[in-house]
Amino acid sequence: MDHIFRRNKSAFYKNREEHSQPPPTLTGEQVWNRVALFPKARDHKGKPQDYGKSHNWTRCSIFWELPYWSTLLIRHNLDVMHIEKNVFEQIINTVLNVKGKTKDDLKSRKDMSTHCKRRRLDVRVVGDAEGSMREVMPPAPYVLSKDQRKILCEWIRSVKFSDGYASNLGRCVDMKNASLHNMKSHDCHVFMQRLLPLAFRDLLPTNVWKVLTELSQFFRDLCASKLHVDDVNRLEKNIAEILCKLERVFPPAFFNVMEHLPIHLPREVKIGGPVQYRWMYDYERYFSKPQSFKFLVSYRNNIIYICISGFSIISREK
Amino acid sequence: MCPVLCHTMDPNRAWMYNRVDGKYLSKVFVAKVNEFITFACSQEEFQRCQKLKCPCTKCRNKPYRDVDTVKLHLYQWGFVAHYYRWVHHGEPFLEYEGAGTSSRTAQVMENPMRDMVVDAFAPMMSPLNAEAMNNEEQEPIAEAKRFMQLLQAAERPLYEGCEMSLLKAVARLTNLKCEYNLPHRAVDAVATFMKEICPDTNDMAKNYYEIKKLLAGLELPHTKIDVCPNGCMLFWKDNETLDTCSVCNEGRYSRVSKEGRKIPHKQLIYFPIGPRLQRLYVTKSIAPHMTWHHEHNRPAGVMAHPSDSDAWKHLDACFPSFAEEPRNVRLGLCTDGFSPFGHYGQTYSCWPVIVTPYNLPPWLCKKRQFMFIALLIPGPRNPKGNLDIYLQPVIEELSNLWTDGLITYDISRRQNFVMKVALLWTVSDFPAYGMLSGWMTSGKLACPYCMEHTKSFRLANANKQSWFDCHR
Repeated sequence: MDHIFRRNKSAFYKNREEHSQPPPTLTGEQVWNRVALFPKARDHKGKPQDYGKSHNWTRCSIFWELPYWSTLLIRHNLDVMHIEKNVFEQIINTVLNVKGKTKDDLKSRKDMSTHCKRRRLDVRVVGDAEGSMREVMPPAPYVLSKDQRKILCEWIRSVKFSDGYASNLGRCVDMKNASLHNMKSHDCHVFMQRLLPLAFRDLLPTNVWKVLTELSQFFRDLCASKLHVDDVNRLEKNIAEILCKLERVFPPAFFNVMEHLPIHLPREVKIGGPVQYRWMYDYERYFSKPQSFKFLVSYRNNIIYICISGFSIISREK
Repeated sequence: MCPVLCHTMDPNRAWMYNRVDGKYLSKVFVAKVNEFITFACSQEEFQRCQKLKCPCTKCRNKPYRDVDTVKLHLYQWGFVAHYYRWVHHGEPFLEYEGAGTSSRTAQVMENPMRDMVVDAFAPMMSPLNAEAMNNEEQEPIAEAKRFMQLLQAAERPLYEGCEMSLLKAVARLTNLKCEYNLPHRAVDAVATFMKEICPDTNDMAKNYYEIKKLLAGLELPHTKIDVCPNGCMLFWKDNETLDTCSVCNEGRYSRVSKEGRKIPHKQLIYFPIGPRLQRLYVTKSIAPHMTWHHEHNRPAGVMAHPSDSDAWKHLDACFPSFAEEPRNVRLGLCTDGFSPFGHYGQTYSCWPVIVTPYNLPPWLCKKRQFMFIALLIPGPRNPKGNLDIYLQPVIEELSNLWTDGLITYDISRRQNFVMKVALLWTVSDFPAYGMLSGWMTSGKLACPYCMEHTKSFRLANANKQSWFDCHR
């Protein structure tokens, strides 16, 4: 609670010290007390009063009709797979400076100058030879130049994984623009956890590389199939510091809600157990299998076959 | 026998890797190696060439050696790793077809198909329903008739002198259809072809339609519920007879077919969960695994399965009567948008709702076979707030399964019990989180944990919310 970052006035929001406590987590009963008064979806009442101001409840969810719902410690899971993928995409798009997707554009630099004290990165107005004025962004330490990007892409193309571990990442590399594209969520998963520390080691400044490595390590530990409670407590302590370090490097526009959610993940792990039972990889894989699912919707006649899928397991086994 | 279990270690073969006892060869090992050699020598392959493949760590089942050398190598170096199944010495490789080592197969597999039929109808035929059975003798109801028909099909060979029964042949064909997504015309063709191959006096089904008739008793139920085209209400229960939506006054039917049937705009397909869970308990290979969460022991503080977690234990602590019966089922519920026609052209996204039982051990849990579709919410648009309307049948069934339970036959213990079901949590991506929980995950208050205490602020230029500096 008495961390050195809390008194820092220059690295984070400018001229602000932090004295507040983390927000309280509500128990099921407390949530129920709040939700009970809101209308249900079948009432068709529209959004309740003060929506978006003091709360974001749209309705009383139908799950509260289950008698035991308020006793559960964790009712809905944040999906680690999507969070990891979105965080990774933000990082890679910003670091590789992908046009339209980077969080380090002119607007974000302007926001940065209003909220942070980083004068070296402020947008400068420069007049060129013809006398017209132009806004220029000084290069940021967390963005790679085109030559560096080429080195990175060359390296990714040469990376080989053991069989069945990951897809061929070389296929995602676009050498012409020195960028990555069409990465599937599992590619992001592997890149985030295994390649990120190696990839940026000599390319980014040490402070940036270090925090990205810590983040990568965090996700790796979080996704372990077997966890010890002490380790999870350590993760919970570390993630706040890791996010603070990220805040010292990246601009405010980088931090949308997906960058914020990792802070709640260790708590969910502590309560709900390993993430592999609570993430969506298995379900997404299920959706993508035509034999399990796709034909169901396209051919109405075949619907019966999903219904007997329980039976089809049995017949295979015996 | 379950296909996923093939790789587990056979405890009877643990001696293979306990070669040394202190300084010397262990006596058990020597004795068992002799047994192994006699087993291998009794196989056909040895009779032919009088030599054995050497399974020691150096030779790795490659060169053929004579018996004494093999013995010597095994004493010196031991068995090659993970050689629990002696496939190179005449033991069959375990596959779906279930040939296998051991006594297990021999006990069960006399007529697997007959067992399966009995399995499927076990709840009906169980002692608890003995009275009902007596009644059946007097007036065979449709259910029983179907059952009899299935039993007959299970007993009846495909043709005179054939080892495969009719039911098995038909079930395999349907299974192939599911596995490879065959259109039903292809199944028609294959069935006709099979009929022609078999000797003249065979009972093989001619086409897909006949196959369906033969299997009619085995399928699990599903119902179609008409929905208002705007998703305001279900034509279900009290509202089943209405012709227009009571909220938006939209008509229920789009047109009338030539035969005079009314065709609804939209249909919700609902697959009841209870019968599927019951089916797990009447399947010999799965039923014993359903109590795994209760039987395994894990050192304190280590988590490797949801049953080790606080959430699970808390539920057990709050409802001791529920926790008492390890066969009660804990479910997870997942939903996500899915576009069946690809991302191009006309966009259509339906929302399947899937439930998975968490009772199973880690190596079975979340396998494709154990994900049950509970609902198929029709598109073409995202249901958004109306997701709750569509979920009504599922929630109603879940609360019934929690309060009353369902009488289920457990084949592993040969008992009836009342199975109760609890929903442990939901799994979804972030936008769907908002739809399920009712806390909208967008805007300033997007984070469902921080709620109104969030420190996010709006960026003037980028016009976005930022969670910068919220973590100190």
